[in-house]
Amino acid sequence: MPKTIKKVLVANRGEIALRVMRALRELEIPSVAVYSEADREAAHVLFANEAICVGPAASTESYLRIDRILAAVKSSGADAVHPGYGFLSENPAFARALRDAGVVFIGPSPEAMEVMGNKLTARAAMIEAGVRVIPGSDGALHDPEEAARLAGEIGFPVMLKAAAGGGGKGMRVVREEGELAQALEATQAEAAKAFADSAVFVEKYIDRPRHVEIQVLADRKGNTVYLGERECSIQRRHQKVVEESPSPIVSEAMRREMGEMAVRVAKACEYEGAGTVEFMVDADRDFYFLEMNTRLQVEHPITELTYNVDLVKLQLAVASGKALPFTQADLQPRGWAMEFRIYAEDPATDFLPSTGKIHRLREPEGPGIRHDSGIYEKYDVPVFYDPLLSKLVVFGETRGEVIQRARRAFSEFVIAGIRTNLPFHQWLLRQSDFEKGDFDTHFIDRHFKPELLESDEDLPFVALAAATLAYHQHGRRMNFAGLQAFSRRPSRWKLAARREAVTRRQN
Amino acid sequence: MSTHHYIVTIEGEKKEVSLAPDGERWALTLDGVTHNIEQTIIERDEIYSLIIGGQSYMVDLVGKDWDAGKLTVSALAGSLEVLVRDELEAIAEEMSDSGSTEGLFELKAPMPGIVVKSLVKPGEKVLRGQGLMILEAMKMQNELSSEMDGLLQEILVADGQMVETGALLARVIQEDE
Repeated sequence: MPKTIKKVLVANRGEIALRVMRALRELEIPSVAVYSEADREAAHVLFANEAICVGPAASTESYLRIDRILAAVKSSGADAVHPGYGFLSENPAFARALRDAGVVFIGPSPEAMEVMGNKLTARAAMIEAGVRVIPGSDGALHDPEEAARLAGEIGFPVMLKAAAGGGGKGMRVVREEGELAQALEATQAEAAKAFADSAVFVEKYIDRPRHVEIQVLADRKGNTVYLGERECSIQRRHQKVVEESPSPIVSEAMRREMGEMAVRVAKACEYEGAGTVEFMVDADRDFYFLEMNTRLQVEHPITELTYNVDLVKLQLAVASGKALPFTQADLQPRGWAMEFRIYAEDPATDFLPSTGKIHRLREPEGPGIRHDSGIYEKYDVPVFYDPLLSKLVVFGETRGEVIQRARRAFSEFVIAGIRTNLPFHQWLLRQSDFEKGDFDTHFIDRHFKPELLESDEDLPFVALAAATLAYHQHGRRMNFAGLQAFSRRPSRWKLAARREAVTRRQN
Repeated sequence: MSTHHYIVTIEGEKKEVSLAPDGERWALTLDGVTHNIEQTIIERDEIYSLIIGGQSYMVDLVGKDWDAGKLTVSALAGSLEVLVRDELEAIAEEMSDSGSTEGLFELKAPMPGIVVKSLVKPGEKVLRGQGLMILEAMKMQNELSSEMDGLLQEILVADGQMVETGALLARVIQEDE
């Protein structure tokens, strides 16, 4: 039976908290913000109808504290919680605690989260459900003969991976059978040394992988649909930077095939609400299940634009027990959308994070522009959280129009006071391989160098002229302001004294 | 109308810039070329619109240290740091390398230039603020003066000589009581 949600606590911060609160305001549902002591001036606190401080700056002491969030739920009288992404959004203990307290968790069940939260159980469940996973050994390899047999079945090239490995360590690509025995020995030795565990497994090596994901949506009445794909291959150190929908490489037939597989994934764990099934796609466009994200995705707006839906409102509808308002046949994408993540990271200095006050913010406007942001002019970006400031989402009829529009949008975008990756996006939008849609997850590593960042050739002269004029006018004003003003500026006094040491003579 | 001279450092290069009002506009001369600039102040010290030779630019002043003349300009979807000193400030700052320590004042060249002439001979008495030498730089003659009372001990350069920034020009010592 549908239950009306009357007040929602948003257990998050930044742009996603605002995104959720905007949907709530449209539905005239009061929103409750939670915030850390460092976030009193954060945009989500200013926007919310109510706000409760949940602890010190460190997220482990505030945004990640289930007990404190629960106390805020109780004291505010909220009857539902939206977790956003990150923080507690994929924490089954949090979802369970809310369920026990009789509060609606806007997301899937804790049981579904548990299945998907562990890569091994997820893989096993997916194999059982008939979902294609990256071919490989299901456990550690015992001897070179077994390795050779499995590698032969999978087909070369294969990847040997330390079971306990991570972060690119303990991995070795093997391109032909003759190299296998020696490579296995080396990987096992490396694994034993680095992780004190020599277990190594083998899987298919995907040479130029693309990351493509499918948005799914499920209600409690057994309806599960997919809302097309998102291409997320433009990444840096596994962090997505630009996403688009549709993907330049996904045909209608492939979309249907991936979508149906994603629905199978969701049904296998009795999924409810909005979720994302991630796939790895190889150069032959064969795709393999990677994992499922049991929450709203950062890049959800591109799906909202191409499918003309509001995913947050749909999450709320499903959470209050309503049926999905459409069937799979109703869902036809239109146009093209790209999302550019705006990070407080400086591309000129190896993407070093940057914090501080935003002195000037001028946001792009006009046709096809959506800016989901967690910042405002004069806001001081704190050091404690994710560097994601906002997302510029651009919509157009075709991919070409989106690229033109995005270039135009970045020409009007000003964020001053802190360093951001805006120059990176300007660079990316001028790369012919990007324009052609020809890229994989290694694109940034392979092509980007800080030296390639370019600015307009007129900039030095314009900056020189503007600065000289500004300085001239400021100086004259200071002179007119008289002695009183000067007396507050000791360094000007010093300069004036030094000037006395030089006397100008006219030629 | 009067022309103002500035030394502007941008992208590591020092440039001489002169600025003169030209009716409602500005005439800015750089590298021998005069540009006609129409400037509208949208917010003082913050936002400007410049029309330079018919080209329109919106400019934000996003970082400013007026005392140091260090300004960060944002325009054309980029930004640059610019250092602006008026000519006298530039000279005075270079001169701060000179200085008096314990009964000794060393006059150093505040900028590259040509020694026009010395105004005092070795052994003569000088007073604080008295001109010691004329150095021509950027087509202007600059009189460099002593920062202390004393005796001109020696002059280390000849008239007409080219000197680099920081070159020692003359030494003034305290007069024995």
